[in-house]
Amino acid sequence: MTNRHARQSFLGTHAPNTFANCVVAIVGLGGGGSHIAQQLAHIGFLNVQLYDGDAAELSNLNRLIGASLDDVQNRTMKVDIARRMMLAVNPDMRIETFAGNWQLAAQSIREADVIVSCVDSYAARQDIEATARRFLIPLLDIGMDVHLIDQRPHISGQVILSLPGGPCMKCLGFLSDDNLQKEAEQYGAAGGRPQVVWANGVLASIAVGLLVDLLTGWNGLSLAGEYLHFDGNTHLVSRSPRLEFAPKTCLHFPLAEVGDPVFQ
Amino acid sequence: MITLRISDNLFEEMLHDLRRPHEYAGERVGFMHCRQNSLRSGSLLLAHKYQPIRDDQYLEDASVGARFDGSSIREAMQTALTEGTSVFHVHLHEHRGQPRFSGIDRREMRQIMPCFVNLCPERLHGALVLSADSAFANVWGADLAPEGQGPDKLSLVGPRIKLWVNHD
Repeated sequence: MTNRHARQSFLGTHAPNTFANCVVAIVGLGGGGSHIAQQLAHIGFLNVQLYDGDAAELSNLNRLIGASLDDVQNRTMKVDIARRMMLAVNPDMRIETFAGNWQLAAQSIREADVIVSCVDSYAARQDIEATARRFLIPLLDIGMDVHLIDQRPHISGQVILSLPGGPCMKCLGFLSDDNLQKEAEQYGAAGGRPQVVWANGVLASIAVGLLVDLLTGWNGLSLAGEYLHFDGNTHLVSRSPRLEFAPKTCLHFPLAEVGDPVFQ
Repeated sequence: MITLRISDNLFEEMLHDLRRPHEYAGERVGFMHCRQNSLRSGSLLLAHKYQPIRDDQYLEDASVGARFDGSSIREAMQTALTEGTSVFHVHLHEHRGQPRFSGIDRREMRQIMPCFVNLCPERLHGALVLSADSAFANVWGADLAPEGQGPDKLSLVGPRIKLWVNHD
């Protein structure tokens, strides 16, 4: 145990090695993913893959952790901002950056032991989960949105843990043909979705907490999956009732169907 | 780089089968099938199916924990051919913590593994020993040393992710 991590020694004697050996892929380095990246560096993760094809813009500065006005002016890629921030915390980290669609690095992301999905569309989540399931990779998904309810803005968000064999985002009702279709119909018309740094921070912190649980088992939780709902107006986090009623075994991604699809 | 990934569900299924008492065999064995996928440098083996050895395929032999007839190996080889899988011989050391192969395990594997490597030389095959909460593996392949090698990373994936990394 190095002095750097002495205050988290309750995670167990194996925790530092586990963090050092685990490869985490973060897809989306915006408001949510930048929080995740920062926390992984502090915790002691050493191997991280970063996937995002966007550069920093002025409208990102309300929430993009690690970004500066210089980054906006220089059109710095979000993955490079996250990499710089992580290396500032721990220069020993091995960080791979992919400034493009993660699908173009398909052989890289399958090396990850965990994927954290911080994307902003249902379709993107569906693609990431399909890959995670086929390659037996646990997936943590976070996201937030703001809706008008009775003319008042309402912040909501979710943290979903999708484990191979357990209920997937379709089993949980978070992804459905209906919301995928509605999203497709509105493609290009919605503009930038509302995002705020504090809600992103809450959701990212919960996801990182779940990741640490998965890897260390420090608090004895044994989750076949998780679906937490964040009410950003009351600041309460609660377990979605959908988790209780979801099938215990996923019907959409059978465990027997792994790897690249092949014809025999 | 060789990575072997096993779901917690399959791990539990194998433990359950291997713990069942047998009329005369001292222990049980089985075969785990994996899909082999390419990585940027190396292979990713994704375990997806367990093929237990049937009760009537065990032979009486008090000198070893389990001896089985040729039909069980032929069935595993047939699955490898038909379904295009990588095959791992699996057995259990009933304790907690990381298991290791015994001298008998290594001797037996030197006899069995060439069957699979010769049959499907384009794929990796291996041996896996489980404990109550851990696992240890060795991998053989046409391009590997005759004694095989440990996977660079072995992971159990479930409510608790367990990783074993070979830093050699």
